[in-house]
Amino acid sequence: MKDVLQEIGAGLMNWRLWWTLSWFDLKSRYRRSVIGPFWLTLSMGLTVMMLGTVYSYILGTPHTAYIPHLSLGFIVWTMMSMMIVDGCRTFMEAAAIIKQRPVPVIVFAMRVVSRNLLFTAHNFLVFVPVVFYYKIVPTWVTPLALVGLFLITINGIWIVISIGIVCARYRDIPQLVLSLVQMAFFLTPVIWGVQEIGNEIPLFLQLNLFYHFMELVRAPLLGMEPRMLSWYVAIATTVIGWIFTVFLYRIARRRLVFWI
Amino acid sequence: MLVSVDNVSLRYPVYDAAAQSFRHRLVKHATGGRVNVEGSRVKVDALRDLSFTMQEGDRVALMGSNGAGKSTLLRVLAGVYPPSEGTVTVAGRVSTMFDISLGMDSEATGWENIKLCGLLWGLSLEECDQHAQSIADFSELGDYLAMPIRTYSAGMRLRLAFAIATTRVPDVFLVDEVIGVGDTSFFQKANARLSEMASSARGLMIALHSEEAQRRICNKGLWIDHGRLMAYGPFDEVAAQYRGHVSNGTTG
Repeated sequence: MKDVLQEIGAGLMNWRLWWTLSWFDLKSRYRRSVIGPFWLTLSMGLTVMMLGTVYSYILGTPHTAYIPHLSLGFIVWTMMSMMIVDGCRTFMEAAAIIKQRPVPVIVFAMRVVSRNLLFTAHNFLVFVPVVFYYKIVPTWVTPLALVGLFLITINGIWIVISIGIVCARYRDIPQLVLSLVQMAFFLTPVIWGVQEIGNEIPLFLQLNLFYHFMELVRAPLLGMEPRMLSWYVAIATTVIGWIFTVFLYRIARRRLVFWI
Repeated sequence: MLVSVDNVSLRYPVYDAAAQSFRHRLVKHATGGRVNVEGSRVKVDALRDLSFTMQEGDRVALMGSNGAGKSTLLRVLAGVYPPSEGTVTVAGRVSTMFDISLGMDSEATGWENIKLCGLLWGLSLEECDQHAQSIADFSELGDYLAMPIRTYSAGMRLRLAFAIATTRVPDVFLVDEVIGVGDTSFFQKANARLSEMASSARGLMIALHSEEAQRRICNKGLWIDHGRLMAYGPFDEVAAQYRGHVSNGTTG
């Protein structure tokens, strides 16, 4: 067990390698494209504007409350869902390297997480005009969003490792993951949930991990304190998820190279 | 002793399209395991009980028919495939060249790939910068290094890959059938560098098809057939044995 933890640690610490790999991934989006990953930001910005107009009309919610909720919801949702969907290919996309050198494979999970953080940084630009237009002022709870982002990131790492392993072994899982994530979108308060959720949170939301992690980032940025429940769920998920991942990695590490 | 291989066996599973999918696992469960999926879980005995050692200065040519286990053996020595049984001990730094891509990013430029490979090889950023110029010189790619490597010909990729793989002179250099695509001038250059490595008490193991090329580079031969070690020793002896075996038509 000790060498398993050491291996995972070595992968996490080799930041120069995974940072360079993810930086090249980002660069490759810019190659032969003028605005590169900003296409994603642009399309997200337009979606927010369109949905914001339509839904604040349908739901009868004032757009002053709706647009900030929607834009942040989209940014955080995209971050979480892209990490999961992207994570399916983690080890398969690195097959050429893994079969060439004994590189600690956790490096490739870190590459997926860090490149998605880079894309998320692009997407956060959607929120900037919202801040100025709706005059959202920072409060003492605002910095809590950083804690939320940190929790999403460290959970992203174990999810990418686990999902990458399972998808390398069972090639149907990526499709399954994709459809589950698409369904989860409707269960998560991105385009709804401004006024509907009162003090009593419905059970399906209590069980929705996406909701809790999203609230840890969105609520503070909108000047609200996240519910204690969300903190508890996020921390429990971190601990359980990492324990699960360490055991899964222990089983898979000597076999992974034969699966890809 | 540079490399020591003791009773190494490797068996690995081969998953066909059906076995790699989740449904078959589910179906198997649903039917209480009566569905015969044995045919889809093929285990390959790629290496069987291999033992040998490599000394300083050994330049070993790997011989054997296609599928004999040459590439597998190289990957086991590199630490890429963990052996199912037995132990592999390699003293010193290993460098590998199993395909000419080396895991490079085909959209990135030559310079960027030099940096990327350096990091993959465990060099620090400063060391990458130090070595970049000598890699560029050896590869003779000049201005092409500023272009994405997907625009390179196979020969140009080989030049770059070989320059990268041999920069920090490795103690053990493992090469799979790739040198073939180089032109004559490159081959001479590569040969010179390989002999230089061998004369400075380093080891080389290379899989090559042409006996002519093997003879020029290597001083020992290792012949494997169906994952078993058939012969290991001075190049001419093993080559003669292998040649006899092939001409008798007993391969396969």
